[in-house]
Amino acid sequence: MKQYSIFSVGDQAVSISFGNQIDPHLHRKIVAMKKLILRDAIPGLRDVVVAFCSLTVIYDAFLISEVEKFRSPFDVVCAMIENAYANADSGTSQPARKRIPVCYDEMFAPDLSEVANLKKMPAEEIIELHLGRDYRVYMIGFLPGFPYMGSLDDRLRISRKQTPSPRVEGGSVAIAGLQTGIYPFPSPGGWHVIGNTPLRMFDKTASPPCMLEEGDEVTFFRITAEEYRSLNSGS
Amino acid sequence: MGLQIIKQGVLNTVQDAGRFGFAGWGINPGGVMDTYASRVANALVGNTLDEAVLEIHFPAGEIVFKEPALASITGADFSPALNDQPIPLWRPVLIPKDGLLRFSKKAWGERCYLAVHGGFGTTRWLGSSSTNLKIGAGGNGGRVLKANDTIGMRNAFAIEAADGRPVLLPWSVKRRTIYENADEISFIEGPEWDWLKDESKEEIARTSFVIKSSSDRMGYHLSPGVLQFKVTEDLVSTAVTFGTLQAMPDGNILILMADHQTTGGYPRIGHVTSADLPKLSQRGANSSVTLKKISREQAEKMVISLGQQLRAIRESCKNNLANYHAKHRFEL
Repeated sequence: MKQYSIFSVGDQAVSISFGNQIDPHLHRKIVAMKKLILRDAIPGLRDVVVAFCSLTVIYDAFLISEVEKFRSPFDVVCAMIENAYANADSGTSQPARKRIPVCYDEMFAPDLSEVANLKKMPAEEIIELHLGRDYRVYMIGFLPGFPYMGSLDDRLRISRKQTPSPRVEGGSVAIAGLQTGIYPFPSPGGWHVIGNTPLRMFDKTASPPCMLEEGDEVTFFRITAEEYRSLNSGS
Repeated sequence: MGLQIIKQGVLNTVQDAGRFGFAGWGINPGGVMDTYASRVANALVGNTLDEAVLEIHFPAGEIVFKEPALASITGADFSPALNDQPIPLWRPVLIPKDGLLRFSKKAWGERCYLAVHGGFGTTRWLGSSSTNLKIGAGGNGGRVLKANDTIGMRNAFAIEAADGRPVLLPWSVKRRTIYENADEISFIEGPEWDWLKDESKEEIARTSFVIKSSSDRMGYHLSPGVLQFKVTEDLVSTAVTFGTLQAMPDGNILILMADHQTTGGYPRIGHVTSADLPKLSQRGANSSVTLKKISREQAEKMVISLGQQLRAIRESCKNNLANYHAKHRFEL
């Protein structure tokens, strides 16, 4: 039985989906597939987008049709994806490890006490659980540079806010479901903010502009408000 | 030199075909909404199809040409006039130095495109001149065109029209069938199409939707909400594209447009065909649309044939320009 499905998402994009599962081994394979597709890029390939358990190839159908006389652009891209699936070796790419400082002090963590109440745990235990493991960046999306990371300890599982906050500060470290993320800019947001990092997740003048990329492994470490301020002014 | 904005329009930006290749950083492609009109505008003045253009909304403001230009305006008809003389759309025009471009009335469509021969001198970011307003990058320093802004032209040339009148060049693009049946938008099934109840699928086919006033370059909100689901599962976020029909929790459809986010977690019931996106882009708030489902094969044929059409338009305009040049010897 096939472990995946391939389908069009519009007349100029094709996705391969591995169901609704979030699995680091599978994701490693997907990241390797992206590298392979980009390495063997054909004219008309516009983008390859990795998500939790899918990969999407976005292309220019007309440009592909100019080089491929006998197959439809959809068939060409499906074959490209099947080929990447068959040949991508998830063992080849070692994830980059990134360390991210987080201050969990009350002034940086507007939702921490609420989360502690909902989870019937002291705030300190929430922080410990959040710091207690490394996370994988599954996807950058929602906002430029916003990393979707997982998976949280099951004891931290929490649904999104019923009504999103109109403004979440830039640098906010937040949780929702079994995911943790970082808001690169001030924005409305539905995740629960439990801390803040002085690092800039997105800087349009930097190359690359994103601090994190899909496939990265992230370790959070705790800093004091004072350290936060000195890191913030130093950056 | 180049162009100067005399009066700011409501939303005038520099755009090209889009910033592709960076969705993995959460950076959307952006770019022009109506790729057909922008490409024809470029073809008419002898540019490559995906050169940067000005995307102009109404009220459009006023623009003065500080140097002569070969220009074209396509897309929406905002009744353009050069030094008070009306100029046609879809036709190249030689514009004299100090020519003042104004737009008096919104006669048809939502956004028009101004191209100049040789293209504009723009800020490129990640390989594209498209303006990303959220990030503040690309185009005109990452922001809308404001009064007193100047935008350079890479290729100015001297012309003989001395009396300040525009000169219409003798070619134009008349075949614009892609805007016919203006309110009928074709789409193909999305991955979650079969989550819809059968009645809901039929309802989509016979409903005349209205584009809500909250619609913009990010997305078009359609009303009324007619979607009912037989399957309701939580979806893990995945890539979305220009044209994705997202089913919102309240039963409404949101069509993602050029400035869409890169990923989404709502059911994708369908995707507007690429060949109908220009037409949809010229439909604005409070206008109606019907959604007609076609096969992926048909949609693919449409987009390929559109590409061929544009290629042919570009070739013929290029030849026309070369012939005109040979005859009149203005500088290219």
